[in-house]
Amino acid sequence: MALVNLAALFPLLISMMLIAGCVTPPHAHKDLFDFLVVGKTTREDVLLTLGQPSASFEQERIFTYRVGQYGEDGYYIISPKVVSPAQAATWQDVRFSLVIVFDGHGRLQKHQLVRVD
Amino acid sequence: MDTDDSKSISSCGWTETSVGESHWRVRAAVTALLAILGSAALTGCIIIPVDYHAKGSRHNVTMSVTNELRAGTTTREEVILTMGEPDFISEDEQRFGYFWSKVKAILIVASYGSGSAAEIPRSYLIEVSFDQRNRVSKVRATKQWGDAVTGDPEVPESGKDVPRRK
Repeated sequence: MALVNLAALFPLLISMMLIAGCVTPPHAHKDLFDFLVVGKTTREDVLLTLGQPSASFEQERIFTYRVGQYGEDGYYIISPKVVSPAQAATWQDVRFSLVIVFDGHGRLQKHQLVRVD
Repeated sequence: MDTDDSKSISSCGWTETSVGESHWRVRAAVTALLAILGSAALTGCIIIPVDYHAKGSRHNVTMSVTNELRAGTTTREEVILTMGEPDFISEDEQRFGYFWSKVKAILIVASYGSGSAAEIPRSYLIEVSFDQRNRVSKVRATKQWGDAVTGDPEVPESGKDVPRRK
């Protein structure tokens, strides 16, 4: 009897998981970048808050992050993990490229949210 | 009164034929024409010109950007702040590639009971090279039909300038 019930529940569970996967919104925050203060925020602060950048330049003087926007809820960071090089070329779901520039002491010098979509 | 079906029209440059034979030829020609037109209609092929960015392509870079990049003046930092993260970065960071793709036409092939459509993309690449002072030394724009820019040894390809991600 128990086996019959599990078999009946299995497609339902799979369907629920698929539906949940389709509609789960990203963790978006309106104030995601409020911590960025020129002359104050350090490289460490940025890494601890936003995580690994999608790319870095000039010995980590410049970081870039791929940023998505979920309606009015705010911004979210798109994971830099890439399965294949071809996948990196896609900007699907990416709305902005956040560029962060540090000074010689590792403090925020300037930042720019470049719209890419 | 001439009751003969045969009519000489050789004076008009035509060969002399009977009315029955002439009708048969016209009918055959019309039938053949209808068959050809019908086949063309049934295996219809339509090209609709469009102009929109391909799915997954970045939208913020255009060919006109090349006019804003000044050799010897614009820095790598300014390039990134203006155009965002590049799509391709050489290992030594001396070359960036900004790539985008647009759909320029839609090809629709229709036949009786079925049909298909395909996007015809055009790909664009702006390659920016930097000197030792981190300033722009060369800007090169390439465009090519298809969903990739290839065929030029200087153009980044998979395995040469792969997108560098941390």
